[in-house]
Amino acid sequence: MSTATAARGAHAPALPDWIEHAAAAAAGPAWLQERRRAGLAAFAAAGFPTRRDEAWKYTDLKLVTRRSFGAGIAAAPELPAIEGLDCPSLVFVNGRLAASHGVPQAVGVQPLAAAIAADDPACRELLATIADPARHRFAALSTALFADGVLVDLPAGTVLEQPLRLVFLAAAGDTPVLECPRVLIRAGANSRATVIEHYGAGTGESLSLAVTEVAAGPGAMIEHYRLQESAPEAFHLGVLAARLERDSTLVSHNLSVGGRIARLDLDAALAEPGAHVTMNGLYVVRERQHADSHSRVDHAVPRTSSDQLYRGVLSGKSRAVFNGKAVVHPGAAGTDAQQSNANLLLSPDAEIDTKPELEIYADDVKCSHGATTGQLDANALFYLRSRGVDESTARSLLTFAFADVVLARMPLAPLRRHAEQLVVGRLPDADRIREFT
Amino acid sequence: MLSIKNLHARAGERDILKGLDLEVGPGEVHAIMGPNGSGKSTLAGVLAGRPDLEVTEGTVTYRGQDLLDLDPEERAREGVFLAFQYPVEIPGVNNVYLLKAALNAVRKHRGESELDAFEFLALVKDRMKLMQMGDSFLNRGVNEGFSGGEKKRNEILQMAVLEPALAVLDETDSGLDIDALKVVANGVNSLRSPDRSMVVVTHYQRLLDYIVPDFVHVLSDGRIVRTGGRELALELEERGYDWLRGGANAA
Ligand SMILES: Nc1ncnc2c1ncn2[C@@H]1O[C@H](COP(=O)(O)OP(=O)(O)O)[C@@H](O)[C@H]1O
Ligand SMILES: [Mg+2]
Repeated sequence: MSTATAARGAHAPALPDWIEHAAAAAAGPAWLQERRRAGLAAFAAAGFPTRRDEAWKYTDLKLVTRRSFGAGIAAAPELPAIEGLDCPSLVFVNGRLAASHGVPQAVGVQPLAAAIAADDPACRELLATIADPARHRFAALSTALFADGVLVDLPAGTVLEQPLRLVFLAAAGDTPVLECPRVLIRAGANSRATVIEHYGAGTGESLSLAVTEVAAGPGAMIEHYRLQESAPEAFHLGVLAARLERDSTLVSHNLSVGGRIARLDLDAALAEPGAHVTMNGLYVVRERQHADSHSRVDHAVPRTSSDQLYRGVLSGKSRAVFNGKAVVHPGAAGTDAQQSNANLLLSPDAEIDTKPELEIYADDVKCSHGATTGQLDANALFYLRSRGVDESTARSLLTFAFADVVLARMPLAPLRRHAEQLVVGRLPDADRIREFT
Repeated sequence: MLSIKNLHARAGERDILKGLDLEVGPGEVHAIMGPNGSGKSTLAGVLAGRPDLEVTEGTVTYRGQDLLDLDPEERAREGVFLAFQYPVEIPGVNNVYLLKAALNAVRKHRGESELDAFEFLALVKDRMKLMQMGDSFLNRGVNEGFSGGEKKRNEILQMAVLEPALAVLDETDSGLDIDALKVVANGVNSLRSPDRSMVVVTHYQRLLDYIVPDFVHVLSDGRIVRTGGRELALELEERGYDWLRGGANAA
């Protein structure tokens, strides 16, 4: 048993040694240590989820709990190229800052560890206050363990002309590595920014506890991209939690194609009138991959809106989970909540569990939700073949067209093209369908 | 060009074609007429290789080879073209890219070089002029949001670009007003040639005023019950199909 456990006292349930070690190494000022302890206690009380936990019913973490995860190896940060995208970037390897490209001092972007060391008020005010530790035990664990990350603190009226790109890479040696990418975005009144979180391929087995918290002030507009293309052995457990004030907007684009098990919990609290969230998501899984998308939107007050479009493409023996919940709280009149989830099953062995949920406790609301699961349209397939396109290419083409409905919503062209190529690359006859895109 | 003998075909549990014979020589235009539900689209679908149709008996020979042995895409590359009665909307697949892929598939199969982007565009623009189609058609999804008439024009545009040896037009006239009908017919007529054959499926004789057939066949209950020249279409226009349905039973 590690010394950290002994020091914490006998009443806390035992945690794996690798967690105790990481917790012991996590530093910070007193206020942070307090939050770290609370996070660790929350995680210890909840433990690793099992299939008996409703929120984890279809996502089995046995593969994670059987392993232990360490600090990883030193590796040169290699910025994954995105053609045509040249913007300020920060690169993290195993959760620690490894490189910074063209990030100007003045824009309110800095490494989280440095901001905490400088006692930045935004950190103290907001860090670990937006992602609900009771619902997100891995966010609680991240709070206990994270080493570094990014603070984006936009003063009122700031407009970031260029996107900001945050790249997170895991580099494992012989043993699996733990990384805790942590991002805090405080968007002041009427500020605007585009933030890209790019979870790159990395190497080897890793566990990523990736937590992003967003506090959007009145009239702020955040366009958020999340590209998850981790290594095939990776475990990715992400949380994106946002709190939106009056007339602010969060547009989230979430592409999940990597990892052995990948999950994102996406929460948006629409806390003041006029707040809006768009959630565009696409998961493409094959072989034995598992992707889990959980989302929750709280329409807490009158006149807020949400629009969720999630699609999935499953092949091989892959499995995906979609659970989207919209809660319209008492008195939240004028709520507009739209949600749809559509899935394409390309193999008889693939499996999807989809559950759109609407809880409405208010009158005068406009809500719709729906989920579909199906195969490729036989008429469209025949039409393409009758024009000389071979069957396999025609299938890939229709699959791509299905997925592209989500990607087409990305306004940032280089990123959209990169995302499209990621998807194309996962389909049979990639070269031939590239001619169509 | 095309020789159909004793063709029987079914969809699901239902027998639709019940012993159909048809000979189409090079350069000939054959009209297939018949009441709704007589099996016209089934015949067209069998020729193009629609997978949900099952041929239970008979043979189809196309330019000396067993057509039924080929996949739909192989048939297309061998020069068979079906203009669909109900062209399919495929959002997300670009109209012009499909056209290019289709043309290059045919050319590659013939051992010809693929057209470069410039040559291709010149060809498409030329054919679009023939079909009186605006540039906006190019960059839309395949048939996406097209009106009924636009879809039919798009079918004939594809045909004009691909230059098939055997074109099967399934009710290309339905849903067209008279002006659109003339445009479509003009497109089809411009493709008539001594080595291109056409099977024109229609419910009404109106189309045949513009696309003048060499032969007219009447399909009823899965078989051809009457064959004649152009005048047969006019007779059908006057008398309807009922007298032939009776004839089919008597025969
Ligand atoms: N896939 C199918 N399954 C069952 N019946 C079908 C199918 N396709 C067509 N039919 C039936 O077969 C008959 C002939 O259809 P069709 O060839 O489309 O006729 P036409 O084109 O002459 O109107 C119709 O009664 C139609 O309902
Ligand atoms: Mg028909």
